[in-house]
Amino acid sequence: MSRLLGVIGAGTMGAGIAQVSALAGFQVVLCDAAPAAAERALQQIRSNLDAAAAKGRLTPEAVSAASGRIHATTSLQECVAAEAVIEAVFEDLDLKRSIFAELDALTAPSTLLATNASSLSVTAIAEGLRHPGRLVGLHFFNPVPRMALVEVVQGRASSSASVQQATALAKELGKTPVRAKDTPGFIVNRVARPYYLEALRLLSDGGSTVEQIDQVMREGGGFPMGPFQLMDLIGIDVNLAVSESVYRAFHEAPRFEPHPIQREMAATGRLGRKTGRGFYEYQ
Amino acid sequence: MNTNDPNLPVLVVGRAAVAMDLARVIAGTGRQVKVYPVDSPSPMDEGRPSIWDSPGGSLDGVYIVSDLRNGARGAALAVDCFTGSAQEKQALLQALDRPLPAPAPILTCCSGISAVRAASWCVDPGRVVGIGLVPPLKGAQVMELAAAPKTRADSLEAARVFWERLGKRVVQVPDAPGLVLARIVFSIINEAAYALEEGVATPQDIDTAMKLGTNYPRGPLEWADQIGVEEVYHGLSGMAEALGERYRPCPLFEAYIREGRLGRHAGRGFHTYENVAGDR
Repeated sequence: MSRLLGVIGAGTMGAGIAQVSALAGFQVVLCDAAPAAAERALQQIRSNLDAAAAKGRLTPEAVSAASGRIHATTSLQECVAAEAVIEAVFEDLDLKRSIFAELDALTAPSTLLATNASSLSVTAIAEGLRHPGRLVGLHFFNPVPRMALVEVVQGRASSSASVQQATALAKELGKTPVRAKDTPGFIVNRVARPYYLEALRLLSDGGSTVEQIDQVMREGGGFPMGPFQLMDLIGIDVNLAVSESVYRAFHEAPRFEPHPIQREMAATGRLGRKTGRGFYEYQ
Repeated sequence: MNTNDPNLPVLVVGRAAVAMDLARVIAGTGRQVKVYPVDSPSPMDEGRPSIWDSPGGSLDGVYIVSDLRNGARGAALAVDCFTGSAQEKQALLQALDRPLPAPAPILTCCSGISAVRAASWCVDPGRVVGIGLVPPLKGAQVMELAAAPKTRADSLEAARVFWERLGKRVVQVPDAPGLVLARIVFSIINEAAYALEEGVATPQDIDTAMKLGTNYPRGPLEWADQIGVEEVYHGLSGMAEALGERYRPCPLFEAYIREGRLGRHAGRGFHTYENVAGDR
């Protein structure tokens, strides 16, 4: 019998997780409360897979087999037989907790529950569940099909068996898992903060330009993209939200303080590539 | 004297990890390099770390010198790679400045100190140029230069030509401890050290995460081991003194330095290295 995964939330991350799961051979229930959202995501997945086939990365057979393994729905009930359910909805604690409360009641206690939350505590999400031991964090990176890393996050109540199961699942999805304690930003979002914050401070110190700082980091340090290019790509508002979240969660430790330049740009709609203008201009 | 005459030697002073990284790049262009090491224990001692040798013997064109005065004689240009406490940096720069021929510029690593402060310790501040040095240097395409107020134009030009002869381009940046690259990279390393100290993840997982999750060229902790744990520690301390407490090094650095976990060249830093004969 084929193995079944549930994916909750058909946004960018949920769709990406569903795509890699289907490619890895799993049957996938892709569930989104908004009518037709999961269907639209499935169309997007199909066209992503077609594009990969056109580049010779997948055979047409693999594409149709993978698309055929994803079932779009609005009903959480369809996850009842899943061996694992991965939640990737909007970054809202109450919303995630209500979804997991439903899944907790709906699924067998042996079903692994995983949250893709990036700025919320896995421990907090698990609070109040009858079977909190089976809830872990499985933090994927955008874009999911391309980024190999998954942070497996152990909440205070997470059982080590669940952590091991999640780690094995990540490998079966073709990812490289690392294990992180449930702390703000886990590993990547925390350790990466200075890449942006120090660049912003250097800029406001004066004497070096956006281009110069990016050039030194790329051609001096070997980073594929400089900090300002990267903020423009990620979205200045998105990057700021992560910084604000980590800053608050570390009780406003001064080194995490977001920078006024970034706050001002986000407030005035200079968000980067998606608005045609950030630290650079985009045609 | 043409300071960039390839027939005239360069004097490099500093700790093993950075000094030999630079010496290899210079010797690779056929120019003679004299290295005055400041590590303890001295690499002149028996059982010294293998970083001082290439397989099969000493590196062509690289000469380890045990006497700074002799090493400075005839040098056309000197590079001070050292990052330490202000007192240590001052002592080393003054010991270098005295015997170094008058026309030779001093390129001083500004990871933990500003060029203007370093220059103030030299008899002729005009010959002092601030540079950035964050190993590994071989693949680096761009190097930072910083001018202090009294840095002469010809000193700055000599530093520019020096790097260009090594196949690097140059970007001039404002004079401040850490310049651009060290400030950002050492801050990332510091944050990784805090994460490690708090038990967030293993050193291997932290490095893997930063490479695969956000495409860093190398993990922060293995990078610290490559640069030298002391360089990073003193760089951050210098930045903290000048720029504020947010740069204060994680306590793990001091613990590792006390234990001799100085980095890859010592066989152990944040990681443990099997193939390196280290002093333990």
